[in-house]
Amino acid sequence: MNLMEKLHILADSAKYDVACTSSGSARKGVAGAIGNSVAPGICHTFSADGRCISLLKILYTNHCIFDCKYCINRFSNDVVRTSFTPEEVCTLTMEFYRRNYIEGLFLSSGINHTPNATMTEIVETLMLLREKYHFNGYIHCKAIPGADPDLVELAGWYADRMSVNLELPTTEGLRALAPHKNRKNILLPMRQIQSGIEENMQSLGVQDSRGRYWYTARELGRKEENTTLLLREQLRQKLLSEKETGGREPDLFQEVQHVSGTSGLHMKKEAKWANQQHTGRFVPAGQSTQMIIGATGESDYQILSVSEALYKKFDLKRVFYSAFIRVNEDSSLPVLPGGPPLLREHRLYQADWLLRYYGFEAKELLSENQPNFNEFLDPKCDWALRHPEQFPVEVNRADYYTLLRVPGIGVKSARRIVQARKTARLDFPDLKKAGVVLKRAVYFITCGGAWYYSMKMTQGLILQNLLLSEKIPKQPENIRYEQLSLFDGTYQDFLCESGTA
Amino acid sequence: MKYILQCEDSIEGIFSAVYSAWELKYGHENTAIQVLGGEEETLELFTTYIPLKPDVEKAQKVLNTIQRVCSEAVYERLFYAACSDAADKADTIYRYIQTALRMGSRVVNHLADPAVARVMELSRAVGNAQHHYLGFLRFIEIPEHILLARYEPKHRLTELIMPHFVERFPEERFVIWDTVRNVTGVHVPGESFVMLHLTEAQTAVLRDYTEDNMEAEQLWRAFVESISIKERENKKLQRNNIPLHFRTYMPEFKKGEERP
Repeated sequence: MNLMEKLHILADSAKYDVACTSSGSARKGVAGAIGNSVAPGICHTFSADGRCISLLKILYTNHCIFDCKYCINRFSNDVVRTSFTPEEVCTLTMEFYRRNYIEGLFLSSGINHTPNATMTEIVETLMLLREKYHFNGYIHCKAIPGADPDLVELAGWYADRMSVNLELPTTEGLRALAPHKNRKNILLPMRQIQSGIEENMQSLGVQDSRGRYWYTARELGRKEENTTLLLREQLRQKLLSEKETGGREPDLFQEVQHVSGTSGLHMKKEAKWANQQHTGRFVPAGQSTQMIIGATGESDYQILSVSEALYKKFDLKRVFYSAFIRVNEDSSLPVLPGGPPLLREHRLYQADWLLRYYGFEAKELLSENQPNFNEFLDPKCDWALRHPEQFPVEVNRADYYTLLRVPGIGVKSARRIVQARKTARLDFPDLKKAGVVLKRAVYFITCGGAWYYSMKMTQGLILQNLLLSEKIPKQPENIRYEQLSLFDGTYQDFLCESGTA
Repeated sequence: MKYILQCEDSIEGIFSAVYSAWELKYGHENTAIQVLGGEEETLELFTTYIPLKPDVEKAQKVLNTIQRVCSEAVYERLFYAACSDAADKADTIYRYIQTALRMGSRVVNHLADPAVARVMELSRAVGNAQHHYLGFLRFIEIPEHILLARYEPKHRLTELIMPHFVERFPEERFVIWDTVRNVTGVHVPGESFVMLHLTEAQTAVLRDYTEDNMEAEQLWRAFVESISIKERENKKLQRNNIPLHFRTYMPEFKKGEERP
């Protein structure tokens, strides 16, 4: 089989892996080598499904001894099997990289023979690429569950990012669809990589491999000490949540109690590349994971709670969500008539951002009573409508994290507002310039004490406008004058709800 | 009476015109600056047009003043804005500097001022385009293992993207060619980079090169095709993320060639 055919098969099998990010690592170029890496990552092209291509994302092999029901490469499937050689992977990476096609390599693999054999091949490829080809660009590789910790660590000295796939949000799901995998084998390398990163950062006195969630939590923590208002709010939230969920932690927390740390980093001497570099970083871009959405029956609340626990307990950089695609005919797999649940996946990503950047907690967004996201509204709008007591927010005074809670204000625009109001009092046109999406924000903010609309807005009317308005509705046209018919119950309901009667 | 100072389309050109605007003392409200474009502008009545030659010394003085009174960040923003293709950039920079000299480094946040907001807008557009091309630029290998990238940027970006590629490919000889402005950035191992204008004869040579190693291009096309998930196909999203004008020199979007 020639290289072209292999690439076809092994890229095709790797496509269901979500992550293609090249972010999180800033490494200068060095003379005698090729490549560098920039912290925000770079997208090099977009495939026909609209997803970013940043890395050469391939499987090392699609031979697999496991029989995960959802996977195209499960061993009971009759598909053409092939493997790269380490040299082939290196050639592809180098030729693509020189032409600026890619930011680096993302190497995953089916389990060939044993987890150790597979992990060894991954490590050998990385070694060759770094040491013979002097590749200094971005590398993301998988840690194979069940592989020897020494091999996992060795890979970590060559890679920028590592990931172990959680596959399914709950242990029950995993048992049903991936009978050869178990949760402990997945969480063990995750814990090992986490403590490795921690140790490496400590020895160098840096913080730069931490996930966004950690920073947000820290910043919010600092704010708590200063603002009595926030303390009061927190207390309220706490009381509320205790009433609501009985303070229950997701099951993941229970599981990780048993997964303790490892014996620490000791393989660095084996990794020549890590010793050549003046820094010697272990998985500097942190670790990520992914889970399949919609193959098993979990609610959004369960999924988001698992993500939150992963961010909290494992300091992950990212959790990726992958809408289930039915590639195998199997009675244990659901048939989703609408195709892959892309909208649900989208809502989960939005909520994931709210956890990491906006300081929201899973239990604020969802609850046992409302376990799934609203299809029509994004999670933040949905939350804001359920919490009228938090609004309006005065943009000239509110702190950064309060601004972030306003629909239509994002990380960038909130930062710009905080900057711009140092020199001038802000009004609505200024907000537009700062990038605020006014059509969503106007119902929740005041500028210098003034609302955008002079009329009173109730929840129902706001909801209606949010759903209808692509453009900001002009105030006079906004009120609907229509002939009322007597005895029309539904219409009366609407009027009571919207308060325009 | 209104005076319009016409300057060369470069940071030196614009900065020396700004210096002249102060020097000529016609009053800021009566003075405007515009860059000399390729196309003929509609002339305004009752206006004196004063064409200016770029003057390195004058430009340097303006630069020094900005760095002294404001900050490096202010200069960087102006530099990015000066690379924009917007017709109003020279005058906007002129107005910005007036405010900047009054406010010092705080000027960057003073978005209530229209010139400050506009400079931010321009520099952001240039910065975004710069970031896009870090990913979308494509090199082909031509004889003697030289790498050649051709692109058609809206803004003047070559000076802005060269440092990234110099750092990334220290051991490669490469050329990045802005075919709109006919400017190239050239790098050889061990050096930084130089900017060169091309002669007709040189462009004729560069224009005809194709990839030496077609297999690399074909493998790449095969990869891009295989990595897409059919069940999720979304060409509209693809077009949002990578608009058509970026695709001219990208092999994965080449039409009409069958995969072997």
